[in-house]
Amino acid sequence: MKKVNIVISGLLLLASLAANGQGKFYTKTGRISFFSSTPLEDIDAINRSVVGILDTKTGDLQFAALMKGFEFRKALMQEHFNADYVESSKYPKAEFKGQIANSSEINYTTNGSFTARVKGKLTIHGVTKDIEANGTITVKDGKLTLASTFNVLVADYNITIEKLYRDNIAKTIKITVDCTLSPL
Amino acid sequence: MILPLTVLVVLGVLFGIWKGLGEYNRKNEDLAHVKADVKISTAKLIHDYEANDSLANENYLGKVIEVNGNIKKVERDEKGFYTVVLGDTLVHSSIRCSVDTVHNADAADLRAGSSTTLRGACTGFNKDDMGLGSDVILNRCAVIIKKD
Repeated sequence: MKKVNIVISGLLLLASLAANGQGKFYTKTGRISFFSSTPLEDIDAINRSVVGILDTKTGDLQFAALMKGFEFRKALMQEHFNADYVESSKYPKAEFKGQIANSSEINYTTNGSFTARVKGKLTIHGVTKDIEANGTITVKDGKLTLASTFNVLVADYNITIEKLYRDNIAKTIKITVDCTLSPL
Repeated sequence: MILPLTVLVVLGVLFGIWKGLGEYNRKNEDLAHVKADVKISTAKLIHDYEANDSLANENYLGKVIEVNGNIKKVERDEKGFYTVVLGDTLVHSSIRCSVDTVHNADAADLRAGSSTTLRGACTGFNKDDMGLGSDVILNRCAVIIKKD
């Protein structure tokens, strides 16, 4: 009888772990960085307080990043970025709402690395655009690491660069997402 | 007379270049050495954002905030960055303070359940849009006071 109880408890534990793996995963310390490269200079910035949630049952994926949370190497660049380009007091947040299109092909319960095709709407500076990007989901010990790199056009988001700095800031910005999500 | 004037002009130009380069290369300051714009309790800052985040942004966004309160938890991510979470353990909302890496050792000493005072730059408010609780976010935080 004792053995049966142990087996049942073990099965319940496994079932609960499996259910966990097929539920929601989140982060509040996700990283999103961007990189601009021109012959005059390279500019990069990182935000380490990105909030994100993935529902592995539906593939629904959502991220939010506060614009003032992007840190630059140079304070002057950070000030220009917030005041003149993304107007972070008026538009304090960038958001992505979308889906992992091939979520059903990803085994969220087994350690491994999977290619993910992400589609959704990215809102920056009050402008929402459809985007598609490929990425990787790495499953390790019950956590998911989402990694993706994609490009956005500055002009698509109504961000105007003054003439003086047009040669310093690229027209296309590379965005890198690197977020480790824990079970909710 | 012409020579001293030329020297003065050259010195003036050099001074301008030096000041310009200094400004261009200026780094973000360590907030441990910056006077706080606002000193506030954890409960009051959370309350103000939850009551009216637009108004709270006018008062706090982009400002250097010194906040005191209970430590809910201290998180260290896989890359070694610390986040100190302040708030009442019975309340879902928090203040999340991303610690400036120069203050990592101080953050590592903090313990959940004790109280502290941190100083950081307010980057805004994440409303509870995703069912994860709402958070006020402070960046580049320095540990000002540790208490057990």
